Amino acid sequence: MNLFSWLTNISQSAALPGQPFSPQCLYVAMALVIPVLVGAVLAGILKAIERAFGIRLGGGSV
Amino acid sequence: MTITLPTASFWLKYLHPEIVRLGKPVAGWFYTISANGDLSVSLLALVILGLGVGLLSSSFGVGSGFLMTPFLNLVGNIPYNVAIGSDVAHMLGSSTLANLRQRALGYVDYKLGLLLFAGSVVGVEIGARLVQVLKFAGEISLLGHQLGIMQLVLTVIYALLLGWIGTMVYRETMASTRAETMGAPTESPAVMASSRLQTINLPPMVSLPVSGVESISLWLILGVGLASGLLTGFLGVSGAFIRMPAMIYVLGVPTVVSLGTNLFELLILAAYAAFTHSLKGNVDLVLIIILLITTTVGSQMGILLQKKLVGPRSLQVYTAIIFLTILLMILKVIL
Repeated sequence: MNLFSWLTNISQSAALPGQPFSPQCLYVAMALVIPVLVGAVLAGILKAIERAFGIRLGGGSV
Repeated sequence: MTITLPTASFWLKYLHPEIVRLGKPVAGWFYTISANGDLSVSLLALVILGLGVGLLSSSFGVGSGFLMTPFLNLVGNIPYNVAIGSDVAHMLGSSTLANLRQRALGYVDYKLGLLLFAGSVVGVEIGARLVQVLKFAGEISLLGHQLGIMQLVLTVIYALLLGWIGTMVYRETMASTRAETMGAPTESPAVMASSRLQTINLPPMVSLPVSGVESISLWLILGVGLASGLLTGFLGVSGAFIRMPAMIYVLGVPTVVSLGTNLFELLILAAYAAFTHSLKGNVDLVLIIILLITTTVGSQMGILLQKKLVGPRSLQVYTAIIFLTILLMILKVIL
């Protein structure tokens, strides 16, 4: 199962069709873990590019 | 190539059951809705959107959240609640990156950051609950067709905010052109009004040793946090355009400390906003990965091109983009 299929599975509402969204614990946890993880990995990649090419990249905008 | 967005699909089916009842696919310029109501958005459109918003926000210093949320709704037909929730989760990732990259550049006043956060939590929660109210507010009839109240209200609010930003950028363009020919600008009325706020002595008073502030009303700090948190929870924007000037002019925090403290506060604020919006089912996990990667690349492109891009002419182009966005948002509602 690839990453996007797994994300789709955990994003499924636990409620019956037509009922309001009922979040799974894993979905809530991933809404916090994924951005932090991707942000940290991207920061690492930027650092690696800076070291490899001897350049200074931006700090990242929010 | 298209990508299916699971949470956006859920809310599309929930809020617009008539689409599923149609039993046939619906296609827009950059998205398709399958016969069973699943929303698939063009990956190329999302990549261009992320690159463009990252480039604009890093070049001009404004606009990531303000442009991202309405564009997600415009381009991908993503319901506003999912666009806002995904944008705050995206903000958690981008503030993680910014904190890791810029931690050596500025001092952080952790006491101030945590006090601001106390106000922000209340603001974020009020904002997220307002989105919930709008989400379940139903539909109204406008110009002969049914329209979601959330779609209408948030379109109007974003149009007004973008209009305000566009006007400010335009005025700044005119002022910088005038300053080049006539000399230094005078102090703005907003700055003078902010300085007067600093004299409020409503107890309890707190000191901020790291920022060099001897005594300031706790209510002022909580108020700044509440206002910026409300914007984050309700509209998915960072609120830095309120927090940064307020820290400098209202709270009297030195600029170097305000930069680091703003990033720290944004990190914990975005974490809480992502948490509460995910509990309400507003975060699309697939979407945030795409947005984080593309806006980071776009923001680096913007920084590389900044010296070439930023000038009175490019500010005019930025203003034109903002007003074009408003026009498209209005057309989406009335057509």
